[in-house]
Amino acid sequence: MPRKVMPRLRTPGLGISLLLLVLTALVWWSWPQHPISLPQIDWHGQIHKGDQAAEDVVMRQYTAAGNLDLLATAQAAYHVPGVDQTVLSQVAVERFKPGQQTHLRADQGLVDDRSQRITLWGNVVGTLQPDTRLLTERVYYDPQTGIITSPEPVRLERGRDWMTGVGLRASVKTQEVDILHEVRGAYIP
Amino acid sequence: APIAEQGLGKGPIQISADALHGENKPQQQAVYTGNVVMTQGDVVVHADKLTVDAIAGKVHQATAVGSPVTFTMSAAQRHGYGDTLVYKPGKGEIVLTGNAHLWQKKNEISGQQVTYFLQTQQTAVTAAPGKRVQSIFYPAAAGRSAGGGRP
Repeated sequence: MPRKVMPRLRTPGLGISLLLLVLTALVWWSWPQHPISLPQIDWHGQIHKGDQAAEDVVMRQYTAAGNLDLLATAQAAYHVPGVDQTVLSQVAVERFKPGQQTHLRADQGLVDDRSQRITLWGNVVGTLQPDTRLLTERVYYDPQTGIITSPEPVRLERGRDWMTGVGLRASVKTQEVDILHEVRGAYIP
Repeated sequence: APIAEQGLGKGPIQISADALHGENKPQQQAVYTGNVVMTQGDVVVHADKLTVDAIAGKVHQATAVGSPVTFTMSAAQRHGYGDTLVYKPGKGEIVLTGNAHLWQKKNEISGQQVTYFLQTQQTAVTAAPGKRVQSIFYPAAAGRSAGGGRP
């Protein structure tokens, strides 16, 4: 009785394995180390993102009395119509309202055009009245209420004193700060 | 070295806690709550809540509340507890109030308020109205000097 020949599974040759290895290495090597910079706009009519985009952006907001209230600058910005948001990169936000002076800067930012809430992330550095420096990775700032919140680890510095913890809620108006968890602090004379 | 030179009442004040609430107006005040540990040099305080009042950024007074508040000073072989502890680094004072007890080695004193002066290592005790100050001193064993600081 003729013996039934089972198809022999042949291991891929050395060559193919080497080729796959080289391809993997190439993909890994070419993978961008940091987010692709925004936005690469092709003015030949093809806007990659959003309906408007610009570079070296300055956004100003004035009070009813005509005083400069809020100034936001960014290296690049584009507007996303669907969600009515403006995405910014290398962004700085400064508030001039007396008693609510604030300065925040970060790698990335997002302004919700309806609520005016500002989200900043990536190396966030802030200055809170009277002389407190805030360092974290992400903050939410509501200019209407003057409240800054962050769910991330935070560090506050004042002179040589410092405090760290996780989670922050700060009121620019009342100059109150809450660090929510794992608080460490040092007062250096 | 004498206690005073060991930097008591000087040096950084380190604090750890579960949460913090800080205010600048009307005065600079930070309130730490939950498993609070405050350390300055040799002084270690454990409390439920610690309020730090600062003036021009300098710690003026730290008020600890606990059940009880405990503090230790290992170099001076002292430890104590009370309902409230007020620490004034500038003056170098630790004031225990409410069921206050202070030990120096085995020797103990207690009263309504015990004030310990870091620089001079002296202690002042006051009793609650109608009560008296309590002290327990263990004479040194024969042949060994009493040693230790004055209570």
